[in-house]
Amino acid sequence: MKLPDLKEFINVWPSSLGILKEKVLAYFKINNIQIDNVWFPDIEVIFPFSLNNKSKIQVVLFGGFLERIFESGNWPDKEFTFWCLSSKVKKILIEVLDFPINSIRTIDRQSLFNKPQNPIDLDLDKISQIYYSGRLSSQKNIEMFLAFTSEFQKKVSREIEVTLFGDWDNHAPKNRGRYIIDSYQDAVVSFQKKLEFSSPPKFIHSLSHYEWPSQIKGNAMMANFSTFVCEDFGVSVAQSQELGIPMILSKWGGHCDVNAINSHWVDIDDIGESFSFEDKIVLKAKSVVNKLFDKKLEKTISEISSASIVEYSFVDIYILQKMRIKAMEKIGNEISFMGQDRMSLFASTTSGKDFFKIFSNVFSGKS
Amino acid sequence: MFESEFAVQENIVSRSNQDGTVVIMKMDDGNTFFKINGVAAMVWKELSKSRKINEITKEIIENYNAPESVILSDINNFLQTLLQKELIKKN
Repeated sequence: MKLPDLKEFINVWPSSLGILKEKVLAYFKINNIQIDNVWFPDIEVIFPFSLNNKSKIQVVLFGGFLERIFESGNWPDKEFTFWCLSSKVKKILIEVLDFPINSIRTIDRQSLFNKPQNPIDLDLDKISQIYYSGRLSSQKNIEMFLAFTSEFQKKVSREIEVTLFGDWDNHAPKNRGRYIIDSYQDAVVSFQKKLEFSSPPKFIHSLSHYEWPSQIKGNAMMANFSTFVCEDFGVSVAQSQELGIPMILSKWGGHCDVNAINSHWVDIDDIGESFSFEDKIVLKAKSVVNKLFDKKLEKTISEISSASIVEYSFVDIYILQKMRIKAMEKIGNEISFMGQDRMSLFASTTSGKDFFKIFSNVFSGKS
Repeated sequence: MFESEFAVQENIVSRSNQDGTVVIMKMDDGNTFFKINGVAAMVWKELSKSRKINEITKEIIENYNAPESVILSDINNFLQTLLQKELIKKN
C-alpha cells in the first residue's frame, strides 16, 4: 500500500491557507483589532502554546469550519469569538448549528484583496484563454470544467487555450459519502479523451499562488465549478478578480460573496459533479455554455455588507458544548463523526444525507 | 402527423454518443434525462438538423428492412412522446 504523497499537503493547502492567514492578520491590523489572541485552527491544528495565558481567544475559521467546530470538545477552557470568510459559513453556523448570533463575524472578502483597477469586460467573441487554478481534485469538478471548455470551443468554432494550473489529488468530495479514488488523474484523462477540443487542455503543475497569474494571457476568462464542502473563499478566484478577469463561478460558499460586475454565477443544479454519469456532465456543460451566450447566467453582484458597528460577544467552552449536544439532538448523534475527521462517514448516514441537503441549500444561497 | 413540421425545443441540449444513443436534457431541469437509441436516435439527430419529418421517414423506410406500416407507427408514437415531453414543438 502506498502512503499519500505529502507534497500535496505541503505545497497546496498551506499556500492558500497561508495567504489567507496573512491577509486576515493584515485586515485586523488595519482595523485596529487585537492580534495577540488570534487562533487559526485550520492551520494550527493544536491549540497554540503561546495562547495558553489568554482567557479570550479569537478563532478564525477557514474551510474546515464544520470539522473544527465539532472538534471544539478538545479546546481549552477559555472564551471564544469567531471570524469567518463567508456569509454562507456564518449562516450555516447560526441557522443550522444554532451558534449564538453575536459570536461570529464575517470578514468581507472584498476587503482582503485589492479591488481591480480596470475590470475587463466579458466579451465572449474575444476570449482566447479559459483557465482554472487550484487543486485538480474531484472536489472541484474538473470534469465539468473540461466539458465546459470543450463546449465553449465548439460554440465559438475557434481555438481557445484551455489551461489548468494545479496539482492532482485523490481527495473525494467528503460530503457525498464514502468514495475511494485510486487515481483521479486517470479518471479525468479518460474523460477528456471523449471530449472534442480544437486546442487540447494544458495542465501546468507545481506553480505557487504567486506564479500562476503570470501565465495568464490577454482576453482570459476563469471558470471554477467547485462544489467542495469547504469552499469558503477561493484564493485563486480572489486573485483573478484582483486582476479584473471575468469569471464563471459555481454559486456556492465563498463564491456567493463575489462582487464582480464582469462575472457570472452558475447554479449548482447546472453543474455536473464528478462521479455523475458522463452524459450528465457534458449536457450540463453544454447548457451552461448556452446560458452564458444567451445572457441567462446570473451576474455576480452580491450584497455588500454595510459599514456599521457590529456587536459581538465571546462564548465559553460550555456554550460550544451545548451547541454540539443540541446539534446531535436535532440532526443525529452521527454528526459527532465530524469531530473525528470522518465527515464522509457521517455523510453516508441518513442523518448525514439530510444534513448535507440543508447545508447545500444554505451554501448555494437557495435558502 | 407526417405533414407537420417539427423542431427541437430551444431549451434542449443533447449529446450523441459513439454507441449511437442520444441523451437529452432540458436546460431548466438538470435532474431529468432522456436516453434514446436505434431509429429513434436517428430521427432525433435529423430533426436537430431542421430536416422535415416526411423526408426523414422516407429515408428510414428506404434504408430499413421493416414493413412501412410498422416504421410509420413507431415514428408516429415517438413523435407523440417527444411532443408530450415537450422536447419538440410543431412549427
